[in-house]
Amino acid sequence: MDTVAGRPHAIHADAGVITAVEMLYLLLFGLVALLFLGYLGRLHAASIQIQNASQAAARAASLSTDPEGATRAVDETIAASALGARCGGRLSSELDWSPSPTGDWQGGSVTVTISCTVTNDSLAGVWTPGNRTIRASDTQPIDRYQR
Amino acid sequence: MSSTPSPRPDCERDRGSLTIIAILLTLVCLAGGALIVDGGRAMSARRHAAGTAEASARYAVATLSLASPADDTTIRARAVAFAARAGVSADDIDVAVVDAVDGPTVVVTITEHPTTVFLTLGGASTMTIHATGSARFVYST
Repeated sequence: MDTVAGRPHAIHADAGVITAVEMLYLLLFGLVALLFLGYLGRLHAASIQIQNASQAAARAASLSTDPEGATRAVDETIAASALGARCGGRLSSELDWSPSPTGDWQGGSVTVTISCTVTNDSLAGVWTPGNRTIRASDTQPIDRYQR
Repeated sequence: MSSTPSPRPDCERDRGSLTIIAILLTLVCLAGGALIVDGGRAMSARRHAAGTAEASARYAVATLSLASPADDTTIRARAVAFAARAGVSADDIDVAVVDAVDGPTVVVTITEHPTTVFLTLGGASTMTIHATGSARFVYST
């Protein structure tokens, strides 16, 4: 029967076991941290994608001959981008423009703001509740000689 | 008389090693976070600054014509006005007009100061980003 005589042997057999359990917790912490870093990276990639789309949309709008054409150009640019899949239907855009010193569209500037709601699921790669709304805007000078 | 230290059991020798590993892992996570978040913010700010600088230069040049050549002061004012509409303050924009035979070239340098998230722990609460854009007045028939 393992009594007093068995104890030193049992302690020796336990050597490293507690560390191994703690290492398991550490591994879990590492995995969670890795997921969090992946989430941050995908969030940054999404914001860059939306920033790119807003710049492309503003540039397209700046090449239009009037505000109505600019609105159409923005819609077409966003539709041609991959934002539809990224935002899951929760995508909106605003167009705002400042006239030139003479009060015309040509020679002014146009700002396009894109708002996209991304689910945390798609950013984290695992089930995560909630979502994030990313906004990006870009301003471009309107082509003065576009007719 | 020197005495030989008694051998410590294995579990005693392991004591404290996990603390060091945990600290190292936390440092690695913070460094990774800083690289992703603050690096991303820096890249994003640089991209915005470069885009705004190019657009400001283009805006300043686009208002020129052979019939109405503007002076340097007016060109600068136009570039600054456009940058202000894009959210850049007048203190953070530098405009240079380089005169050439075939027309002026406007060079705009924009400075942005994005805030940091992880680098704040190291004492750097903001970053300084510079970007330059230029546009040349070209006339063709």
